[in-house]
Amino acid sequence: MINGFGLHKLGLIAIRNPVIATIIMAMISFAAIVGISKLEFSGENIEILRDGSQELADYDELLSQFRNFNNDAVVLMRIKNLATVEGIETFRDLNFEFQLDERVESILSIFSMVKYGGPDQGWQSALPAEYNSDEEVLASLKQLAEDIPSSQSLFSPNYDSAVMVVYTKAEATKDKNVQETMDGLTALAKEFNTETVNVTIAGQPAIRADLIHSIVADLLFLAPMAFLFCAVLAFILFRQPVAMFLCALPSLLSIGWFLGGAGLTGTSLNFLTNILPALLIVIVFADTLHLYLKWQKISEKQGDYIASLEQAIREIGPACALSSVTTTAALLSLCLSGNNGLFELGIAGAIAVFGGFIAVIVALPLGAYWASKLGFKPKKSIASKIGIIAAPAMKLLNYRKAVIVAGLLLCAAGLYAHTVIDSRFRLIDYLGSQSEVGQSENYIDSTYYGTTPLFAIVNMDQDLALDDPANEGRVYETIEAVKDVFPAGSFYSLADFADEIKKAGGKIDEKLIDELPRFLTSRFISEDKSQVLVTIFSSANLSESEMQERLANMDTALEKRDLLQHVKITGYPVLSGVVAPRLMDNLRISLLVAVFLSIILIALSSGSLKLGLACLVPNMLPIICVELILYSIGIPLNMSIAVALTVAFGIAVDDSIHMLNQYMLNKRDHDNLPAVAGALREVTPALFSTTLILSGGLIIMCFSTLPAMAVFAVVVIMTLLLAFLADIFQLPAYLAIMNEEKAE
Amino acid sequence: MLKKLIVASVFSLGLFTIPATSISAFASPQIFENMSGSWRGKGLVKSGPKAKNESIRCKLRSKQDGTSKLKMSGNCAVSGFIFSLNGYIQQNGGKNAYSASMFRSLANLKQSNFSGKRSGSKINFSFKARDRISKQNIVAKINLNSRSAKTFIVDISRTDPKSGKVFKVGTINFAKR
Repeated sequence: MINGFGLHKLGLIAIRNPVIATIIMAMISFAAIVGISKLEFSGENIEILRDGSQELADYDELLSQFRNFNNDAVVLMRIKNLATVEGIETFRDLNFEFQLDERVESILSIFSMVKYGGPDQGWQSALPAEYNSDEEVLASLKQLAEDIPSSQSLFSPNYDSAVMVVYTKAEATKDKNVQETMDGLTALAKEFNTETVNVTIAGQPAIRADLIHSIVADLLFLAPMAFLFCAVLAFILFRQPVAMFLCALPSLLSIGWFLGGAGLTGTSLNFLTNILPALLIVIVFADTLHLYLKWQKISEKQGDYIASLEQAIREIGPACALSSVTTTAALLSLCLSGNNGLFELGIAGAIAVFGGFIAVIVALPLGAYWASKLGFKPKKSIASKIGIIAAPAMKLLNYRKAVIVAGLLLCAAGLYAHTVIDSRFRLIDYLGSQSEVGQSENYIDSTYYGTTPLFAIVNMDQDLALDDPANEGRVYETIEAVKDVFPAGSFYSLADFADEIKKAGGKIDEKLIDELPRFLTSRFISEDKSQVLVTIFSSANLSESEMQERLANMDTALEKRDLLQHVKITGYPVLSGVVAPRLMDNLRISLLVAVFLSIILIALSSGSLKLGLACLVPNMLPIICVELILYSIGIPLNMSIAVALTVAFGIAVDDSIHMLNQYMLNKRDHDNLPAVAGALREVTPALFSTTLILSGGLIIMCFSTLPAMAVFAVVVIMTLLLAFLADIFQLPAYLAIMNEEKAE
Repeated sequence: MLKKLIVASVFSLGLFTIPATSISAFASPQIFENMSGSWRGKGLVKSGPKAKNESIRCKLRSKQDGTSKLKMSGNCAVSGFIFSLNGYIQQNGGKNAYSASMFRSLANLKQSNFSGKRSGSKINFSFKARDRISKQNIVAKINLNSRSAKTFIVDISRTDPKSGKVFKVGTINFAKR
């Protein structure tokens, strides 16, 4: 029999000391309720990508030396025709409304563009203060695009939309305030909405606020739905309200403990850890069913419900413990990615799963104990009637060698897909499918150059003055390099203003910059004036290959001008296009680590290296087959899929453990082949039931407002179904083959 | 963009005295009471005699603090720039003489002392200030016409530092929200 590292004894201790155990459970649950009231949510996404890499260090330098560009929102106004008096004045009003909002520091739009009008007129807005005709508006917009090319990134070529970058105050976009701030700004925007005008907000603060909104909505909808699903299923299986309560109790407790623990420790729920509540419910419910079914079966034979409870814990408890340990190991393998967000998910997930195991092994027996004392008798489940499901697997045992060869071939194909599948990280995948923010991001990406800028940081020679020709030349050369790669009008820098000032016979020097407010200069030059910024409008939603291509071209353009040592390219698009895909590659490595770690754990707990190895192919197959399917239909790997594969593996290996556990129990009284066949007959209905339950529970996650959550659920379901097939066809074949080798 | 601040600073010398002036000139318990509330301002201003007009908008909230003091907060925006209107207006000893401190928060105003007097329904207000860029002493004049408790109009004129002549900066119409 499987050795569960003695963890199942917790259940035995609990039912031998039911009063004390119940009091302890109640106290923990009360503390959890207090913790839930303190639970916080986070829309942070930069910290999740943090991995100690040079790209992150460059990005940190950008934020510390210049300003926190993550606070910049983008307001998009879609209108029938901007090039009319009504259209342009509406946009002007919108500009002023945002500019005068107390949460806003400053804005960048066509109305903040200036040009020099000669000695008499001085510096003027590039657009007139008022218009008399539509023709005048059209002419002024055309003139603006010609005079200031970077203005083209602020209104669409066909005049059906315009954008403004809103630089919000840092305090307003902190995690605790960002949702309120964006709600306020969105309300401001909505005041302008009419039949012909639509104003929406995109950009980092909007994305963060939207993420928090979706996380809360999911928690309030998905977790109760998953719980309800499990409860209803338990009622269908056992047709007893008490049985339904007993099977639902561990899931309810585990989610309460997890959320309460997060609240008490100040751990915010983010778009990654958001998967845990619903996932925990179904994982715990599956193990609960295994234990409950065993108790029901033993008590049916023995009649003594309390004694049956102890025996059920002794027989199934170790398998439940080991399956929790392997799921925990899979989650902990996420920590190997070296990434903050996944480290947090791994640790939080591991603690949650362990808490879930305690709920199964302690709360269910305690509940069953008290129910039995009150006269409850468990009825036979309808799960026992689905033993026929094992018949095809039993037949295939006769063709075990062919089954193994087929599995190995599939494994080879899957391993190929594993090595060649592409990666992509798009933050908008984590926004709700109906999200206005997501839709605006898509629109801006397709109509403009994107909402999320790239930055070329140009290091100045500090021994020379800022306006020294050598320093000036370096900035202008960098701009030339940018022009080689990015379209005209998609970037701006201090040079734009220097050019205008030169027309007036002036120049930009340190003194002039010191006279200006920092909130203005921080967009262009570092506080110590050692670095100058070239801002390039870009997208955070490019694929790895697209971003890599642009960065490589930029490197070539800089190298051609001997500027590589003076210029750094950074920005959120670098993080999403380079750091995130690298993170996903690390995740896939950690997945393989999880596979081998689980095999070692199985070998240790079964006391047989052979049995551990027997589980290798059956447990690798589901994961790499999913990758093969994704590769075949051209879906790139994203972070949700990578995490889903790791988590699904941790769950899927549970099937192997329960099959192996029953096989080892049977081996005590039978030869090898009958032991395998017996295990198939005995365990297949339970595996089938739990796979259906897990899949059913996870289908609820497909209704998440977050598309990434739905993808996560689909991938886990696919993996679980494939794991079920691998465990009833592949694993028995390996167990049977080993016996043949022994006989020889 | 950089020089634009110069433009804006010139505006600020004239513009941001407007609400204060109007209030200080009326300053009496009744006037302060009328002036309490939220205001929106909209108008056109320019930086020099031959400069083009710029659009300006203001949001102003004022609240009475005792019988002879009015606290004010808000912002004005000209093109890409925002200026704070935070401060107060105070009647000095119940006389037709007022002082205000709110403009200290405006970076571009070196000298913050100003005073105003009322004459009939119009208020003529002037102050001396030191232009931040030219370092010259300049004079700004404000004519406030308060037609009702719900609206007031402000005409601003000021000295052009180059020519030394007074020119009309612009007009802002304030309406109670």
